[in-house]
Amino acid sequence: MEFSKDALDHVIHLSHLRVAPEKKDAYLKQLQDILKYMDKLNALDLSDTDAATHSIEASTPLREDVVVESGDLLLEKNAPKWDDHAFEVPQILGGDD
Amino acid sequence: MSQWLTASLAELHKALRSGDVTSTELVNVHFNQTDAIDSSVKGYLTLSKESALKTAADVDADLKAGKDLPYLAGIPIALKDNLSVKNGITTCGSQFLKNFEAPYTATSVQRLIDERMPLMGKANLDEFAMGSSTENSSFHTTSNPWDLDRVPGGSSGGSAAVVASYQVPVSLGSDTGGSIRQPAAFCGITGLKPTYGRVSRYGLVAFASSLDQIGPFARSAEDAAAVLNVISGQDPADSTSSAEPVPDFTANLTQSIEGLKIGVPSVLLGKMVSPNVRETVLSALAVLTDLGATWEEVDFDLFDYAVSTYYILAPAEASANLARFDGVRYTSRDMNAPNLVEMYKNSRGEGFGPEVQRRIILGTYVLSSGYYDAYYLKAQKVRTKIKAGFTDFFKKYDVMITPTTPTVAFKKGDHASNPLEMYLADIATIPANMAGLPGLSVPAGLADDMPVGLQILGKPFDEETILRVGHQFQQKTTHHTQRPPLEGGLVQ
Repeated sequence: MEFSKDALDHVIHLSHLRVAPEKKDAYLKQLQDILKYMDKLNALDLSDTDAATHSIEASTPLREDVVVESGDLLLEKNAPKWDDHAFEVPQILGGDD
Repeated sequence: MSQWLTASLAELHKALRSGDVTSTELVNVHFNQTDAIDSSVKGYLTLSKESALKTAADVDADLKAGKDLPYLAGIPIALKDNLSVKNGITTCGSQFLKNFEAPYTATSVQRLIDERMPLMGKANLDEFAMGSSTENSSFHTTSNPWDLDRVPGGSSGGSAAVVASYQVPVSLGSDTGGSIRQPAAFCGITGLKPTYGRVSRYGLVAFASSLDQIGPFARSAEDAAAVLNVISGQDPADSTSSAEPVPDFTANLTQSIEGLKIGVPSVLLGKMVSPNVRETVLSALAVLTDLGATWEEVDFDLFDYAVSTYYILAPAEASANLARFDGVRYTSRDMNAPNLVEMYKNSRGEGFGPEVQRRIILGTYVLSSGYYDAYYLKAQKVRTKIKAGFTDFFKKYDVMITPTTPTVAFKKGDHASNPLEMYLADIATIPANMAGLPGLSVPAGLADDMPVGLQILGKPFDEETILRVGHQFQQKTTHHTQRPPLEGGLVQ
């Protein structure tokens, strides 16, 4: 299944990216080559193989349910726009999208 | 030429305790080396002279007062710039984070601070640790100290280059698919990726959370072991960090490797590796045989599937980890966007470089509806096979040895337009991340005047054995002491 221009546009939208048209052409070819290379995996019989989500098997350690102070997270300092204990952002609806 | 630039950590420790040198002198001579050489190597992004000298002065005062200090106190170290240091800028090599001030310090870094090591500065990297050459840094490209027209490797290219050019004796990097081991090989130094979970990832800006590990660069296995001692251990702030006991990694380095069984995958001695790299690795294996180890070729065809598996799983995880950089809260934003979604798209479009964008797109695609089974699920199953392959391998052998990279360091721009070619260079290093194994790269010699790395992979949590093999190899050879032909040399 070749990765198409429509698929690229759709995934760029899902990724919340903006890509200039001239870069898109380059990305399309590069991603097609990369995805074609991944066809290699079809040579393997995986019918009896489980999916691994971790590299090392381990269980999640638990701790006591106590509040630990996290200190100043510098939210205001790193916020592009801050208004009274909140990140200020543009309206959700409206504009070109 | 300053003896302090080429001294081992053990020698520096001794000299500090005997008063032959002060920490302030060490910090100054290393910054002088930076002044002399880094305008051509460009390993650093930022220097922290004031805080390094403050740490050094405090160490000097305590040494003079006869206080008992940690082993590596007073010895300078540099950090890859995806490691958070509180109140410092952490850029991850990205324009997106060029003004980002970290609100906390990474646990691995805090352990270096608690060890009283002066932090010299932040080293350059491929943006968000995505790359194998440091050419993807949005700030500048670092040069390989052995040949300024060649790459230092990546993504921890800056961390490798500053050690290889004697600007620091040790540094920290991170390794997701080879990003410590490959630059170590390219720059002719020692680099260690610990077992997954050995070192806390808290404060390491995440690329692929099931693969990332922090580890040391050094000029010897012994020095890498000393740094590993400091940074290892379970951390309540990282639930993936392991409760596995932490030994003294320097304690058994001098033990013989007589009887050690080494397996070498035939596929990595074959046509995918350049002849001069293969010859260098075979010579290194002969040295290990002289030391009493035995080796044989093994079939391990799973290496053929490593790159395709990794470049599905890692970008998938990266697409999730980098979703947080949306223009809302991490400094960068398109302030003129008319609505929220435009803000996300424009901020991310402007803030991320091409390789990061490519990997986010790839990762989103392989996770998306209709493609998840064909790519992501399939890759997870191949990961199971790779892990099982290593489990079987280690029933018969103690370590696996391979060339760290198929070629020596390539010239800048060689793979600029072909990312797949760049990805294929990671073939030898990726499997260790898939299976969470520890891996060490040590210098094995030169080919065409450029360093060749020997990779030693061990069982989970068996850093002791791979460090012992590396150390024994370095007792019998001098490759790790060879110096690049630095323009400007080493300062007085």
